Amino acid sequence: MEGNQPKVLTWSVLALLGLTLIKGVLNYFEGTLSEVASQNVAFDLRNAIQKKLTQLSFSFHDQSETGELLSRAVQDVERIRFLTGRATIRILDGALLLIVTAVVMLVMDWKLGLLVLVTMPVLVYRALHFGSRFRPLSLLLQKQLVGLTTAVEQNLRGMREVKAYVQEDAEIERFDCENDRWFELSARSAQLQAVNLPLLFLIANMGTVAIILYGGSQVINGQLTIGQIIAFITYLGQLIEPVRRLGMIIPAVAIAGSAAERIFDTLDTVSEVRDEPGAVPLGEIKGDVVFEAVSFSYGAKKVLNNIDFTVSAGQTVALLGSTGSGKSTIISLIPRFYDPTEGRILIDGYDIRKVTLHSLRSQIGIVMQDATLFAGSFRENIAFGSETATEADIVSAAQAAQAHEFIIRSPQGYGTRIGERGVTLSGGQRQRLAIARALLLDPEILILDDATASVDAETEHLIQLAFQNLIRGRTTFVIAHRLSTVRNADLILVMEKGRISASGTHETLLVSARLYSEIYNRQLVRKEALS
Amino acid sequence: MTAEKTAFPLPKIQPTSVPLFQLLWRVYGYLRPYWKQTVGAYASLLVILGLNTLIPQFIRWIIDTGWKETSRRF
Repeated sequence: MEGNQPKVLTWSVLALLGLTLIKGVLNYFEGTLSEVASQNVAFDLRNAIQKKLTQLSFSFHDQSETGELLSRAVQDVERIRFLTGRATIRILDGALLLIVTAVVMLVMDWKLGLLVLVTMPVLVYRALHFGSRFRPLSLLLQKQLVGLTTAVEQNLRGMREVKAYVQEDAEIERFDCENDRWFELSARSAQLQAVNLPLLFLIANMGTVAIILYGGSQVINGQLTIGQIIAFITYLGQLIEPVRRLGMIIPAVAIAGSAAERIFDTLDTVSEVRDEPGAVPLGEIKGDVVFEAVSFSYGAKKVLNNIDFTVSAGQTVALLGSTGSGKSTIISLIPRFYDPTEGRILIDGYDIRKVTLHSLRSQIGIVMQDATLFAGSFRENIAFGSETATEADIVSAAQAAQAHEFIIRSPQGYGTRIGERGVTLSGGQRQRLAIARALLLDPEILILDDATASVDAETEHLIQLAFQNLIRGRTTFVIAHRLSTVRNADLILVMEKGRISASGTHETLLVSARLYSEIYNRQLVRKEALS
Repeated sequence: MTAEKTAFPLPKIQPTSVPLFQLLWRVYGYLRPYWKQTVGAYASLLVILGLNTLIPQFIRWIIDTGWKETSRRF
């Protein structure tokens, strides 16, 4: 045999190399395949969350914080990706290796095996105990991160107000408080982890000491071979890594558990406004609108009370009233952003709850003062909601909205990017783009706020022209801020504390309604005179 | 910022409301459409596990049988 030793050595090394190579290739496949599967899971979850968030009613969004929703869509999904990929593989790897190694060691020498394995339950208990303490803490940590993100987001969004009201110091203090809380929770988490890992290693190393002490004496007595001792130490060495991983992965599972809870919480939310069973598509409408004894409560607070009115197709309805009188709520009920708590709304004789949301909303155009424009080109922003619009349609809508001139003066014309990474637009320009968007949609029912942002006289004139082009021939609901709108309206609804306190035309109301003449003279006439 | 800055009581840690097992069961349901990749990854894992069990035995064989004479001298 001694003569064969170099040959044996060469073949042994080659065989070991071969086995290691096979292991490497399999490790590659294991990692790649699990990563592909988990990335797909994350992809599906992100889509599901996005779909849900766009479907959920306004009442959900009113109660949700943007920071929290963003965290769910980005961070939490990433945690699930880790869980369904590498984390699961490592947990299975650790658990199976523990079992198989334990069996092999017991078969090799049950006494030494038992001695080494005594440390295993302690290790497993320690790893699980750590996970059970870490999971609730990780949940708090996540919530605090949301609080921190929200504080930054609100501060950036309201920077103008913060500066205008000299609230810089108060905001810094508020953020400092949130940051302190985050720091404390992170410190507690770091402390838990710092104690856990060395403890795991200490317990595992006790096994090595046992092998050397007991196994060594067995070798001296000739009851064990050196090869067996080396095999035992190799097995134990192989076990330390999975145990260390268990210590790392269990918190990740805990964190992913919390993330999953939050994601499913969103996915399981049932939208208060949705297509009812048996809802039918609303055909092309004329634009007759009827409110029948409509009331609406926001939580316990009743914000609309027994609203009744009828509008014929093509008429303009002006809504007047102080802040909180219910004007915005009325117009929010028409496209079913909320559903009435009592009564019903009919369009062309159809109860809007009995028709599909898509067919209803696709026939209603909305232009509010603070119109949102999306990061993209002028072209994309105008065609938002009108997928089949041609370039000629877009240009024609922009011309009618008095937006064409400033668009073609931009560097790339209709292709110029607007939004955070593009050109900055004034309030008046944004408003005209929103009007162009509504014109392109060509809805039979229109909802708008005719307030104009502080603009010069020429822009004001252009916006008025755009409004006139937009309103022509459509049933229009206007939150009125200007004289011309109320004078030309077919019906004026004067709102007071959620009720219609008076309704009629300008001429009749001037005579019969005290509140109307007050609003007309004190607010509208005065505002127009000032501007 | 130092750890001594704690000026407020830390919130009491509450366990999450849904059992972890239930949550994980639902999470793994999302792997169903990608069962081929998942099975491939787990099959690789099992072979690796087999190799991890085999390699120490192979080392033992080299020392105890392959180099028997050398072992005796040791």
